[in-house]
Amino acid sequence: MNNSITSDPLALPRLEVSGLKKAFGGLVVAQNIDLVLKAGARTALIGPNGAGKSTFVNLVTGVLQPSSGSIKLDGEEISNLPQSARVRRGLVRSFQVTRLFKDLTVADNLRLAILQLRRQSFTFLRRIEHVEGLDAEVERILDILGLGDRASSEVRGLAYGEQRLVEIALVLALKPRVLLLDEPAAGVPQSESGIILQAVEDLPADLAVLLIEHDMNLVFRFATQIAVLVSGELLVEGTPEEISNNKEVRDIYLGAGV
Amino acid sequence: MFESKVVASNAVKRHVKVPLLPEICILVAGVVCFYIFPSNLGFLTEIVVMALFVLSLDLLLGYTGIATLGQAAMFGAGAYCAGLFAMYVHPDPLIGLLVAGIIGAGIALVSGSFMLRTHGLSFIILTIAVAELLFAAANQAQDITGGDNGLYGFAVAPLFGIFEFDFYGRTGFFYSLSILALAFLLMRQLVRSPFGLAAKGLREDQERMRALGYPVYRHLMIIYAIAGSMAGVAGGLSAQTVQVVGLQSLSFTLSAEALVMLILGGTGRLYGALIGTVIFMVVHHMAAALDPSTWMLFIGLLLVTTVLFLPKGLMQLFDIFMAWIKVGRRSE
Ligand SMILES: Nc1ncnc2c1ncn2[C@@H]1O[C@H](COP(=O)(O)OP(=O)(O)OP(=O)(O)O)[C@@H](O)[C@H]1O
Ligand SMILES: [Mg+2]
Repeated sequence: MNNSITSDPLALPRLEVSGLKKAFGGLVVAQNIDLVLKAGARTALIGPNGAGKSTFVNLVTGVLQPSSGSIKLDGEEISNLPQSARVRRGLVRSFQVTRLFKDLTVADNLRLAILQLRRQSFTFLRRIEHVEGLDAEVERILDILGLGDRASSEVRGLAYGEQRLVEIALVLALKPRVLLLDEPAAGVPQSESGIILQAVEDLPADLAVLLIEHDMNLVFRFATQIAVLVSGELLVEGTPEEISNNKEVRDIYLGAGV
Repeated sequence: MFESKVVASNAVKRHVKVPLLPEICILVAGVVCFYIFPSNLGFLTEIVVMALFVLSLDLLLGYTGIATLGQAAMFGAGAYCAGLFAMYVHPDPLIGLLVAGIIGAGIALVSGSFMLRTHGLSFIILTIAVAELLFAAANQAQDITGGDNGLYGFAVAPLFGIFEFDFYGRTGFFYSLSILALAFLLMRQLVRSPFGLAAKGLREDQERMRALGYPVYRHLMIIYAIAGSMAGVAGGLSAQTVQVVGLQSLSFTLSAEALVMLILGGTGRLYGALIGTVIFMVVHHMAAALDPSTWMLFIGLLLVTTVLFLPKGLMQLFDIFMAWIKVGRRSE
């Protein structure tokens, strides 16, 4: 898994979270979280409902301000940067509950992401159809997710499963360096979850990915490293074998299932 | 859009895309009105100026989802500045208009720099507050603005040094009409540009835009400044064509009426701003002539009917009509 030599640039940590803590008033929803994602990481974050997985994503991406702790992206402290600046540095997340521009077409949703990546969102006087290479990129991404024929449909008219695919398409369009996927297959019918998993498996090899997922089959198929979060704290982190053999994890989380 | 393209829309029907068609339509409609109502040029000019103002509001509310009740701040500031500029600095109308636009953008940037960090109701209240502040300032500074009596006695030089602003208002009308057509063209380009798409994204979900990496505040500031400069230009036009600037140009009533016109016509589409303004102003004009005390009742009824039956504004009638034509053509 992470047995590569430290001098290998791929082994440098892309995301380094240490001592992360968040309390809402007296309610502590995250504490003592240390997590490192190196280039090429395929880490799964699992834990029971309400464990604080989404909260962790919100803290790292800047939606929530941590009470304490440090978050480093490519070695630089980012915990004081606004959310959008973190995204521009390559820290991208998907949403557990689909969050899209529902009155816009699928193509426009993707164009928004691509224009930001290319820093062309302040272009005033050129028609969007005339922005070079934009629609080719939209097509390329839609094809990956089998959404090619949906480009000009309004998002609100799509089935929920398809909307989940658009959510994935948006993060792909942003070409992230660190990707946090919050239950990308939640609420997706079987027919489409295969496409999502395929898209996730086809992500660039050097991208650092953290996948939050309840489906253990998916987790074991995807992850080379698993972190278990319980009540806002990391219980244990290890390889899939280590995790599936860990008695505590079996008791608390996996229960009778594994 | 600048090159004329022949597009085969389907096997049966071919149609030619005329460049600048909407702008040409605006100019033609203006010319037609000019000949039909030659003695109402003052009123026609007022409609044109108002349409420009409502267009600026559409950029904010319709395209970006920024609801404001203080857009008159920029209109009034532009009007006073254009008047004062003509009086003390230079009488040229185009330079005056430029100044009015810059002032409008400046006020938008200064006030937006703190307002645009707030949302929803707080933002709306702040927009009202800023406009009221300017209103009070203009009222206080009677020596400069003329206070209640208004600012008057400034002369505007002939347009391009040739066309004098005549008593009948011919120059004023065509001048305003041309500026409106130009602004419409710019707006049309803007809303179809990457920047315009970003505005729609902000309208839908600012948080999601942040998660896509957009510098939301900077985008909002620029849009607010563009709308502010358009409102400023509208104010400047009003000053130059009426040759009086009154306190009502900074009033809450003006902001609110513009909003009513926009909602009447339909938000988020440029034609809605034009249609809404024309209908509102004409109904206002006629109802006030019939019975000066109850014209608000007419407007109120019109607005209620529209909002209830045509939630997308009067432009929805146009959509229904187009759909109807399509069905008719298919069954042929
Ligand atoms: N804004 C908030 N204020 C107070 N408590 C909150 C807030 N946001 C989240 N929480 C609490 O933090 C805890 C963690 O929630 P979170 O959504 O992160 O869990 P999760 O692990 O993602 O669960 P799931 O698997 O159901 O998605 C929950 O107990 C939740 O009630
Ligand atoms: Mg969650």
